[in-house]
Amino acid sequence: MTNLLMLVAFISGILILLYLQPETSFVTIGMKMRRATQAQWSLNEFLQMKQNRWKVNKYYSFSEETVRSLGHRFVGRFDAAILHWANAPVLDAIVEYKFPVNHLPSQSRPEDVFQAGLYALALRESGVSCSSTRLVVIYCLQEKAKRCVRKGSTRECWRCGNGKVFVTRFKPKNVLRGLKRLDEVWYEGRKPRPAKESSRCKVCPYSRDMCNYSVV
Amino acid sequence: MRVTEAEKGQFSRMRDVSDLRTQFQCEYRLHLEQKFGNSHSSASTMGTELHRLVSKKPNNRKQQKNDNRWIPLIIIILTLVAGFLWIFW
Repeated sequence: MTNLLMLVAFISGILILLYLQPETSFVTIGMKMRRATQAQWSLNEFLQMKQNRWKVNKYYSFSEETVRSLGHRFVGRFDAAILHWANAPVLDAIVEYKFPVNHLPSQSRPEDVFQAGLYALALRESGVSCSSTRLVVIYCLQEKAKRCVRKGSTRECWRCGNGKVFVTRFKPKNVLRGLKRLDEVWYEGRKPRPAKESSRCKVCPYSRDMCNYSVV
Repeated sequence: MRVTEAEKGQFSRMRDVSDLRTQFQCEYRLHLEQKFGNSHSSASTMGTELHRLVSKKPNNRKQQKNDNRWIPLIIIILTLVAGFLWIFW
């Protein structure tokens, strides 16, 4: 009986340790976000640091950091990113917050996923491994988010109300394809095309009076 | 969030991710934005403010994390003890 108990304790211990290890598939993106500690360095400092055992396999959260892509000529500032060190810096997630006024979308908006993908692309250019990166888009109604801010739980505002979280795998090919299409307007002289979906015009501030192509 | 021209510094000629997002949503919207200027509604101003608040760095989490740093070590020791007893008991 004691032998069996010891065996159960041993196996449970192994499973818990696997669960705590960043590299195992037991760890979901939500766990990584909850486990991440706010980094005490800037992202640039983190990427230039020499690896040492105190920070290996520990998740770090970075907020409001500027990233740039020299190859694709863009610069931007992400809302949050979760990284850890393995043999190289690994990007676990790019987190993008969105605060719609009236409605929460039933699925993530393509432009929001694209935006998060651009940040990941810029980080990939800086030598960060993005093989398991997830793009996390969090929607929270402004009124609910304001209430959360008042309560002081700003980091997890999507939990206060009916926030929605969408997780997408980062696929560089998809982002590059989208970027190539936009580059045609910037660098190849193609005229900008208006969107044809009414959902896109609804959120556009120019659709009511300034846009001749508006479908709302 | 949008990067200001001052923050861009020597990279001022680079495109802003916010512009690329707008263009991805509707190419013509970015064209109108460049032509007539970016119109900031009260909703977008509030959105920017909420972004700033949500991204604030919390102070109490570090202490909490430091309190938990011994837990993996304790689990390793207990697992090893259990494994040892299971084999040699």
